[in-house]
Amino acid sequence: MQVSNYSRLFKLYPGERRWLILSLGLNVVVASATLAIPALSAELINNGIIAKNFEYCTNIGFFMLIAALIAGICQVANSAIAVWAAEITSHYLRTQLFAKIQSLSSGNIDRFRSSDLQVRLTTDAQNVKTAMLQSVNYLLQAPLLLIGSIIITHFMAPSLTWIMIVILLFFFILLIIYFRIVEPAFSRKQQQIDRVNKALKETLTGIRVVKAFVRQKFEIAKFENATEDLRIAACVPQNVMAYLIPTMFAITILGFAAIYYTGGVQVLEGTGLSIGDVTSVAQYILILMMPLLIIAIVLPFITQANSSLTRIFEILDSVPEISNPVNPAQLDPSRLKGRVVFENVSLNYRNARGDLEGEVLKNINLVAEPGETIGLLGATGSGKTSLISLIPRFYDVTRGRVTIDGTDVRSIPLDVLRSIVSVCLQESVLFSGTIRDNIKFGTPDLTDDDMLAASIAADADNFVKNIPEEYDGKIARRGSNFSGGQKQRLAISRALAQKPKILILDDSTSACDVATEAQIQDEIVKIMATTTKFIVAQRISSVLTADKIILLDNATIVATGTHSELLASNSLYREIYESQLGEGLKRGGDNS
Amino acid sequence: MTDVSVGSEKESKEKRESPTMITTTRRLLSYLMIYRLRLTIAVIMMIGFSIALGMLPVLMGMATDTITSHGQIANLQLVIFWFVIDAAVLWICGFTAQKLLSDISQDALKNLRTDLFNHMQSLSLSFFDRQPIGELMSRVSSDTDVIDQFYSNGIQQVLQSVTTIIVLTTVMILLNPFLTMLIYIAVFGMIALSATIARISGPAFEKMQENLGELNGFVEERLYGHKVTIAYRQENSTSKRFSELSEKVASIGGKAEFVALISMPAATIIANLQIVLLLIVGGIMVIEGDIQLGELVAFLGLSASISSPLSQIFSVYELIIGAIAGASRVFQILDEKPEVADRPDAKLMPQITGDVRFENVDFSYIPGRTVLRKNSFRALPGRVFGLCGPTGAGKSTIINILTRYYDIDGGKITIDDDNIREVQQDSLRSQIAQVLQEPFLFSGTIIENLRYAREGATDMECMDAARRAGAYNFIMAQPDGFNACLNDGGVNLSQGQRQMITIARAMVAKPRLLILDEATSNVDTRTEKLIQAGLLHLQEGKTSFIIAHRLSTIKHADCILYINKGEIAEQGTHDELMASKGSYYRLYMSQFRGKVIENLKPIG
Repeated sequence: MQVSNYSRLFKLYPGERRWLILSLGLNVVVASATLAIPALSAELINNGIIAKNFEYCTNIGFFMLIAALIAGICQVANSAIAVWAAEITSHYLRTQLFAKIQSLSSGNIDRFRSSDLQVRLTTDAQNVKTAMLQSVNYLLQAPLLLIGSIIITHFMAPSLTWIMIVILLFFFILLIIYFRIVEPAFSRKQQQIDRVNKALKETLTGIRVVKAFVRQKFEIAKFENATEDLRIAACVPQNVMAYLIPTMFAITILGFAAIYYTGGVQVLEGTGLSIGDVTSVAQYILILMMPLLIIAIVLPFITQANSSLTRIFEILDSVPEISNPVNPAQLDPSRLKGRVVFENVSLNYRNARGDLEGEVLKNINLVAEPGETIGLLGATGSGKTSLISLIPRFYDVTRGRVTIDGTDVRSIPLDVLRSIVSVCLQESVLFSGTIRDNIKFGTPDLTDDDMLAASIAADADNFVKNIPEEYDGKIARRGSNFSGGQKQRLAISRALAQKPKILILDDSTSACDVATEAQIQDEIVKIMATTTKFIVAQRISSVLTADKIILLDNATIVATGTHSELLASNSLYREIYESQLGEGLKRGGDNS
Repeated sequence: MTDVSVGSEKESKEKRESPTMITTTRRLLSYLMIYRLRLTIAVIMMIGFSIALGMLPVLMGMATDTITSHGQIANLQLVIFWFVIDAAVLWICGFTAQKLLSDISQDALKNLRTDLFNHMQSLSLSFFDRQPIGELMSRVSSDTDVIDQFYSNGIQQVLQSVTTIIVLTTVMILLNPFLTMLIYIAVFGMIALSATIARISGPAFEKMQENLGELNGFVEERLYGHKVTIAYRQENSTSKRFSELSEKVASIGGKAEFVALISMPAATIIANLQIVLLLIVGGIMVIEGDIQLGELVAFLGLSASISSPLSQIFSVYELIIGAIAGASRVFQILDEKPEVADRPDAKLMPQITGDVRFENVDFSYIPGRTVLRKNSFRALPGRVFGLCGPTGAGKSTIINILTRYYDIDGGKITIDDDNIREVQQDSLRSQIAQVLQEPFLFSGTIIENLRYAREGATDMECMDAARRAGAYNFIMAQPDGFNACLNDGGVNLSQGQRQMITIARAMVAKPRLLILDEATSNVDTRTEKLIQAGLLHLQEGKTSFIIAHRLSTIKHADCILYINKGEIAEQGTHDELMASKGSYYRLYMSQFRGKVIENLKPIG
């Protein structure tokens, strides 16, 4: 799994490969130069200082400086490559991913959940970047430095090689303890932090309820429990580190002791080893620590990036449920009338595994003539939103078909279909930008006069006029600087701006008061006389004047007719009418 | 009264600007100072650790001299023995210091978190109005995160670096002041370098974060609005915008990362320069016979040991700056005074019978922007009061001040002749139950949620309440019945079901006064019918205030208040208000849109 993720990443790497090869070369140079310095210092001590050769001292010193400069410059060059490679890769992954998500249909998005997609686009892409940066920058140096210091020791002072190997073994044990105990302990600590934050969030969100029932003390006790658990969890990795770090220092000191003793005895016995060799082997112990530190730092990034890559590739590999027809119907959008027919339509959504769930629409048959206003009424979950979602193909029917002027929507090119159908969603979504940008979202070439007309019809002009910048007024993220009713009216303007053949308002005036709603609806009927209109509503008052009211219950149509017809013939409709506009809340014989 | 609240606002604003870095740091450290004894031991141990670290190069020098002076092996053995002692001292001191410091830091952090939570609990709702909970939350959690970093790493690193620098410098000066000076030239070079890099990379990273924030915001918004994007065929333009933002992040981020990465090789070059300088200058001194080779070796080791604590101080510096910034925000919250506070002589609210009186009540959330003006009305015990009017007219505000989530600016509110300002908030609120538009449940079991209303309520009482609220049947249909867990505030239940549980919860509280704020406006008609039945049970014998969007909900109230622009415009029963043909009449009739009013007759 791990290997395949990285080989795939390498295959789609967007930059030029030769830079990566250059990076390999640079790493070799950096490691060699780093390794040369202690050897040169041994030379300087042996043949310069001890031999009392002043000139030799400065010569070797000069070489050491050159080596240091070469190592430094090559490292900087390699960092530049690492940064550049990592940034273009993450940029590439992000944009690919985002474009892919844009091409997915609502069904796919529902299953991935948008918060999850957000993490993949931001955190996961960022994780891949960090891992790549660290790997290209340092990772290859680790084995080079490790093997290099042992080989050099072996040539310089063969009898000291075993000490190096023993020290290396101890360091490895420390590294394993770190990954086995400290890393997991840190992630357990993170879990506890999440728990504490969750507790905090819940209490703050429900602060009204907490205060209403006077339960501050209870909340405090609950929170104290969570923080105590966190404290205990946080102590574990810290305490283990308190063992590990002094141990690492102690091993190094004992290593020095072993080298000075073994080497020293040999120098004293005159076996050809000189004091300069001993001091420089001691320096190689310090170089030996570097690869282990590199591994300790880089490895967690790599494992993290691997799971990030899995999540990113999962999206890139997913197939959009709804795509353009293979054999599109030849239509002239300007000549369409907008007659919508549902023929025996059934719909099932799919669950996260892609299996069909229960039916949300059963055998729906309905005809909407051009210019008609169709009211859709029913309880939450009765299938109203699902029904209208089939017209612009947010979802596709499971059985049956939906046609516009006799053509199955599935054979109309998506661009054409969605330009003749305008939908105003239940939750009015605006994007940050100007009001103008938002109204013209689907029709960037719209004239300002047409935009104004749409805005007036949706009763948005009234409040936009009062904003100092009028249509250049800024909409904050998610439209948070506008009230629910205002957002809805802007969303309706956006839908009207498209001059659709079919207009769908999905409970999109729910936040407006009844009078405003009536005014908007009347205005729409007036200026969009030939457009087929679907109005989905919870409030019965929203659909009272529709040409046809369709009453949905449990995924099926239970009645169709005008208000007076339904009032006379249907008991469920009567019930709804009565509860909303009739008697309402009665008190047990109290008064009337 | 208005003056006082304006005054306190001004005061808190001043406080917000004034705390200096020093006072913030002192306050941050005060959480550690509680553990004075352990802290003192830790510092002593840290000094021991540094001395052991400083002795190592000296021992290496001694070993070198022993070897070069062709001494006895026994002498070398003695030096090696000191190596072992040094290792042991270093381990014991290092371990003790780290262990103590990590324990202290976690204790301190726990205290800080608890203080913060407790204090936030005591703050008035106006505090939470000023900042969205989500924002507050992410601020608090990221701020405590950096303080955690500071406590658990920063403190230790600073202590270790400072003691090491002092000890090593002392050892060096004692050995050879001239060579010490030589080392310090390189050291200053390194400090200058780190400072320069930090000055460039710091703002660069900030800029990268800013761009990343923009990108995240864009992604969040466009994912949320995915349907709109595809409905208006803007997939390509949206992807293009994203690509632009992403490219900006990549190029600015690349610069920041690169500058930061330079510091390491640059420091290595300087460190090597230092070694070469030492070797040549020291080498000459050795050749001249001024010093022994061992001393030079010792200095090589010392110079290597001093550069790491120095660079550490630089990496800690940013951590400290971040922690102080985070701490000042946390302390700002801790210094926030609850705006609604009990008077020192506040008495307990006696059992409410339900005679609620508003006399000339004025109120504003923000001084100067009046929300309620001269409101007067009286609600008699056991009666139902309906509140209606346009959005933003002040309906919910009346509820907010009746429960004393906010204090009023003028006039007075009495319940059974007790001014609510003169009683303890808790004793008042525990007698008022509220059912709000958005049902809020806590994660935990259903029975825990019901018992939330009153500590010590028995299982029987809770179940009985559930039965009367109409919630019993669906609760029993849950896999674990009353012990079923509600995840994330009950996402596994429907809105209507959650509302029924909150109604049952309100019943468990055995309130004396009831407030329903749009309790059924988010549910469909059928569910509403079920809920209404529960609500009627809840209202029995209590003074009730009902805010409604849908007028049918309050049609039968004993008295209806029509509120407009903060004033009670009309007051009376439904029939009276209809007869007077005023605003209420118009609002009521607009529901029928005039046209079909004839059809209404047989039913209305």
